[in-house]
Amino acid sequence: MTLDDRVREFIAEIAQDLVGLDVALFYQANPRAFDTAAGIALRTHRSVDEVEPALERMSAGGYLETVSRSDGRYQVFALSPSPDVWRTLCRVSEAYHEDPRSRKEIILMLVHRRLQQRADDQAAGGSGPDG
Amino acid sequence: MAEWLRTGIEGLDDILGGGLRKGSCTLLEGIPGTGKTTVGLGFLYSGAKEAGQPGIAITFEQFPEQMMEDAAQFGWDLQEMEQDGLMRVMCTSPDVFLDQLSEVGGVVDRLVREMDAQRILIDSASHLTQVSDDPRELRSLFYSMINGLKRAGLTTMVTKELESTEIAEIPFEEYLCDTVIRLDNRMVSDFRRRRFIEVVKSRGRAHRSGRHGFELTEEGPVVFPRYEPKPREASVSCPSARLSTGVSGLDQMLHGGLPAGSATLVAGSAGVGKTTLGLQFVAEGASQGEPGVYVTFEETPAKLICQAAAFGADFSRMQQEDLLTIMHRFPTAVRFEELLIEIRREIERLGARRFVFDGLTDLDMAFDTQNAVREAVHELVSMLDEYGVTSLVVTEVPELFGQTYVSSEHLSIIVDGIILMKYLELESEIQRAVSVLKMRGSGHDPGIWRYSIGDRGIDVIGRFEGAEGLMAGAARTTTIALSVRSFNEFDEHLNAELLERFSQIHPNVKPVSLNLPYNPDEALNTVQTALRAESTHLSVAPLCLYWTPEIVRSGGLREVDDLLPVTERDRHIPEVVEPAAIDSTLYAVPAIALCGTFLYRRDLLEKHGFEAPPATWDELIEQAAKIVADEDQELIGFQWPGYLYEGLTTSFLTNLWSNGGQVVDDEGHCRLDSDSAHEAVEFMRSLIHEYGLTPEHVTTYSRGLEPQVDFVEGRTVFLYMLPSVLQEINRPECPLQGRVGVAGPPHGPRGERGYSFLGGWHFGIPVNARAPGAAREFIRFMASSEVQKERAIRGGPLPTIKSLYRDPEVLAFNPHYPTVYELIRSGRKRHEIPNYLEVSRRIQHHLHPVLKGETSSREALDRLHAEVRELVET
Repeated sequence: MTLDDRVREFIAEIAQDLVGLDVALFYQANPRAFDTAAGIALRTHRSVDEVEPALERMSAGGYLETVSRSDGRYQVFALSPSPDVWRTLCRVSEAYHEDPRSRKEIILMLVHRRLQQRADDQAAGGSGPDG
Repeated sequence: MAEWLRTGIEGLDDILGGGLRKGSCTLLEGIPGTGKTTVGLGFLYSGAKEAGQPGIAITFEQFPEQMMEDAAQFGWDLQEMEQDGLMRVMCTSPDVFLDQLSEVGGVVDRLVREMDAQRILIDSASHLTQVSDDPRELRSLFYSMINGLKRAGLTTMVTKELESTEIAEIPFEEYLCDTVIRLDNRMVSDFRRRRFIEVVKSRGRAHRSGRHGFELTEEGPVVFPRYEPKPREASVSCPSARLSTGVSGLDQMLHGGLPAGSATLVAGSAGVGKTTLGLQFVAEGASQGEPGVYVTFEETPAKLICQAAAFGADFSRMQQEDLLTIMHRFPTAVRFEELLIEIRREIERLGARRFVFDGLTDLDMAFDTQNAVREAVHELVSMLDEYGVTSLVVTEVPELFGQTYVSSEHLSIIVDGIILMKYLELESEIQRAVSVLKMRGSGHDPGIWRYSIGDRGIDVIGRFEGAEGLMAGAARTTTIALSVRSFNEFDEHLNAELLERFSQIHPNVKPVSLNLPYNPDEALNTVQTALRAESTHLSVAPLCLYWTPEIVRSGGLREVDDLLPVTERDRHIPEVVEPAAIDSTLYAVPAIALCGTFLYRRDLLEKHGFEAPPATWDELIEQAAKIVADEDQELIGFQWPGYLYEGLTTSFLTNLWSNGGQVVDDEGHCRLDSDSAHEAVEFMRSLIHEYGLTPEHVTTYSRGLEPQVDFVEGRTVFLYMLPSVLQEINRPECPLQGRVGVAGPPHGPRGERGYSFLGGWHFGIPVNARAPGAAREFIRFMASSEVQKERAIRGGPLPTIKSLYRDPEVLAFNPHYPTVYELIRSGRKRHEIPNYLEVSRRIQHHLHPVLKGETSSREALDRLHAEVRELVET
């Protein structure tokens, strides 16, 4: 295994899926982006429904800050200025873009997680997203 | 006072009139790929880098990381700037941005305050349509946005996409923004695109309107402001300096060279020598310490250096010594505005005085319309004019032969001069011809001249003579009619014979005897008028010796050193050659020698007991009075020129000099107030009015030859005249043959000897002569030793060749020649009196009334002295 614990933890806890990874990598590449879920979905070429949970997880994990209109019309997501956050995202980006083995491992983690989730869903008698 | 900030983009601030007003909003509009975002980023980058003003880039579409990568191409490290807190590149959605902008404490508001941002780029306003597609609402949103940015104290650039370069409807943003900059990237030929930039609007500051060049270089966007011709202030001094073209014959055609500061179009067929002329022009300048700039499109510098080396010009050394810059550009890649800026820099760097643009034809490739070419040439010429640079602008004409259209773009109006170089077919030969079609504010030779290109470059040989239809491409030979003064007063028959003989040698030349006035004063007018003309039929200009120096100094004559080389000049009487030369350069060839001769009737003197002609005035009076009184026939005692013309002056000067007087002494003072002068005038007056020896009608003759006729017909004892009268007397049929003697003029009481005056005629070739080649041949023929001898033997005018005065064959007909030769050599040079022509006029004017008995000699001399002193001493 080549991934460090921090990246592993981020992939497992925050990113969780490919959409989550895309959003994280987007913020690492464009740290000054501040936009709504719709805006981020447009830029990452995903649907709002997919992007919103990822943004929520990153916000909950302290990776993103949210700015909300007082009237609640929309919520804007911007990268947290915390140096720790930036360092973690940079490690994730490096692992994914610059080391093929790490990249493979990240993808495997995400695939296993997805398969596990599907299995759990089936066990619970429901059907997963692909079902 | 409004505060202005520079965009920092090279050239942009120039066309904006200095920069952008702080807190203003600028719209950058253009079709895709025109460089809007780059200009906007450049505005932020320069602000941060040069002025320490932090900036924010808001992108609605492009990812910041992509924007940074694009910026890195120009060496702009935006990431580093972000780390330094000088830059933020942010992406968001238009609605979020608008919303956050309007919210106090919103993201934008907070960021501006945190960074102390001064500048912002919004990329692009076109995305506001994501918020609303209602035009009214869009306008309101945009208006609200720029007000929000102004309120935040930001100087803004907003990009906007245009669908087409041709705008059908003016975008509302143009009304709302303070400044509008339109960028363009259009096809200028079938294969090439070119970027342009235009400031469409600039609220509160004058800007440079119109399209300017624009380029995205490795260092970022660069604007090449078009040169804006400035109105020139009226100047009281008109530059009269001429710059040699480096081709002496062409300088001759141009009456000394190109007028300083002029722009001349050099038009010609391919290979005719336009580039060679340009090279010689800058080489000539460099040799005189006048730096030059040569712009070339076709020929590489290496080729030009080799070409120049062929005629001895070391262009490499000239470049090293900053006497020359060769700027080579590929015509397809040239951006004229940029080129103009580079030319300007080189002119300033070298202090260039000369410039060659080679050539306009290549420039066609850089422009989409002929109007644009014309405008470009106008800008170039205006810029050169601003620097006072003298230039040649080379252009190619498509026609190899025949009628030539110099410029279809009406460039001839823009330039000061046009030189046309072309091929001709004449006498089954391809020849080269050059002509000056136009030279504003300056005279020039209107003729068509032949030239060749050899080891020394272009050699302009001479006018095409005896040919017509050269420019129309239908050249044919014709006979040259050559107007010549043939001195018929000596022998009409002999002259006709000589002209006929010349025609036999030169069958294409027909000399036509010119009816020139005998009076040299009137002849002077004829010659001066001919020299002032644009071109003259008077290709052989007859010059009377006393005004030859003035004509020579006027610069209206061609050099004729080849007709009488320095080594052959001492064969001629030096006093006759000198007036036609400046230093050692000869401008006219001596044709005839003259002097004042005192003739006496030897037979009458002997008859009345006088052994020798009179040596003094008293002896003259005594001899004349006695002979007139004692002779049965009615005789005139003494005749001399006394009417209003040059002859009166020569009569007075002869008596003045012969009485020890001078007009001007060695210190340059007028001496007409001397007793010598008074006695000379009194002597002349008394001959008429006291002694009655000279008839009063010497003051009223109309032709000047009357005294000569009287003498030849035996009615006069003494005659002071030109020696031409001797030719008549020496004829076998003349009754006076052998009865006339020649002597120097008698002298007065203050003189020791009598002095005659020196005279003669020269042949010169006017610069504007229509047939200078034929004229040259004619002069060579008439001034030759053979013709001069033949004329002398057959009763013609006096030769200028010394040996002929000792030639036995000549002496057999002219036994008086040795005496005349001495008179010529000792003759006084009236032409050396300062301002002689005017002095002579005043002498005639004041002394003529004395001779007519209308005023006293003292009174007339007082006035004459005062006027001549003014002429010669100031």
